Amino acid sequence: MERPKGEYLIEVDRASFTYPDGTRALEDVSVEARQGDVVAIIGANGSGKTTLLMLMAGLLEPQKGAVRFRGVDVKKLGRELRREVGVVFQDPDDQLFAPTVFDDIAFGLRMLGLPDEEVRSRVIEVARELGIEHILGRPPFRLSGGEKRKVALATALVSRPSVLLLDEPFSDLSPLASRRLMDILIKFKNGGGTVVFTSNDVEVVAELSDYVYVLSSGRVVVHGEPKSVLCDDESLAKAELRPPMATILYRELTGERERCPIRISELISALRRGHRDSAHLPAKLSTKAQRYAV
Amino acid sequence: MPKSALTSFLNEVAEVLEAFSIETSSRKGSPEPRALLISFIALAVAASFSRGVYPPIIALATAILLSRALGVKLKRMAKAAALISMFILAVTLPMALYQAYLDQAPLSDSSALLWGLAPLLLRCVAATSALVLMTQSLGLMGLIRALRGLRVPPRALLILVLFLRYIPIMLRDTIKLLSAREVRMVSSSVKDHWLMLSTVASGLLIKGFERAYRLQMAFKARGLDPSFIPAPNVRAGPLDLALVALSSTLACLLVLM
Repeated sequence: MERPKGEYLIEVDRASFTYPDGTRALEDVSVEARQGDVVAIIGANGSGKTTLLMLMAGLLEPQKGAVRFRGVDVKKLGRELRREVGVVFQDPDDQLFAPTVFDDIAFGLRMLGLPDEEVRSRVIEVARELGIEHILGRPPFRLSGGEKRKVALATALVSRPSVLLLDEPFSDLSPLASRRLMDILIKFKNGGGTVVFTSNDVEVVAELSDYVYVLSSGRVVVHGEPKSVLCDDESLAKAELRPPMATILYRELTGERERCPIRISELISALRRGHRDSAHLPAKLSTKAQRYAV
Repeated sequence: MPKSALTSFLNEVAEVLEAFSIETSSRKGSPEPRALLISFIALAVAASFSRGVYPPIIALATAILLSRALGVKLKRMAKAAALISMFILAVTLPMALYQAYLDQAPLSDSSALLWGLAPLLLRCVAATSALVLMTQSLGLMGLIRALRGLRVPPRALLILVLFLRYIPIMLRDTIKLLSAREVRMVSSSVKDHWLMLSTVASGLLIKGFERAYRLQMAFKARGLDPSFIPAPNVRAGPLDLALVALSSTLACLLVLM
């Protein structure tokens, strides 16, 4: 199950981390992400996903092992790491601290010492992209949950990072908001960016990721391409997860276990291909269904 | 105090404290951050250590003139001044009245005692206002740059910035905790109400630690490391030197007055 070796952009190498109260969060964990990858880290609550992400962001230091960015230990990288790696926390209230949305988004740029005019234009650009231009003057604590999430994402995107680390970005989002966020992340990936995100939502993982790591009790129980990981019931069960609905439905409808569609679109084509009496099924998903596909 | 009044009060306090970390756009031709910092601090010190009624008023007026010249609005300063006045009166007024009662002084004497509080009140208001105007004129980043320029250690700066942002955030968290308890209040008795609200303390203590940790993480994630910020390499010009000289001289005169 080893990934073919290539140049990793971000690499966690046999890292272990224990919190000061003795809670062992991670043990001997190795995770890699290449440029342009969307890597999903999935697992039950308390499996160590957030801690792993914090290690990757250089916000926590592993007691054993190492975390490298472009081959350099993150401990040795200061400002460069902050410029290259954008982090979005699970709870936007933990992330947003400035008196106004504008100041919050601009904070990182000001820390990088950019001139005022550039800070302003970049903030407006990212706000326009995320549709939050109208709330730039408002205090973050008065925003709705969805708006806070967008602002938190804007604070990470504004410094034009090469890696985005997102902790449970899809939790509390409505299906359409999830879809919009996925589109933003796909656009970021298409621009050459790398995304590492944690999630419990196997549907999102099936739709978005190129590579998946499953964590359970601070250890990686399985990793690989989404198709192989999300069809591995046993490993998923260890992490208190289930296969995607498309897989479950296909198995129920056909009784077949060899083929494993993980997305709705794959489910329909698998059904069409495998069964004569499926002529009534559409050849592909309608635009509306694609929009709801998560 | 009615419950809504308590939360609105905390909201106002948080808003005033936010003035200490608000960001401003630097204006062309404005003095060098270090010169501004020294000038405002000199005025705040002069207001704090002066005697009588007029020196704090002069210090405050100078701070207002200076910040107006930099385009700062006075709304936040006015709020801060009102808040500080309230605190000072809440602490000193009962003391003054109690002293008058102990001395068995007639009412006319106690009013003289109250009048004696005026310089203290003015000193506190003027010093606080000068500091609010300073942070508004400089902005958070300007303040960090100025302090770095004065060779303040990066770790001390980090603590200062954390402190400036942490208090308003904690006040907002307190409001949330209070509201969560208020919506579960069944009894309408004032005593029960205050008993229920007093349970906020333990929650606040735990949340306070957690919040400080997360805020520090958020700062770190967004690149807040004052050691990254180079000390300003701009050399102080004649305007900056004149400003520092003028404010320092004025401060000395006001303290000696």
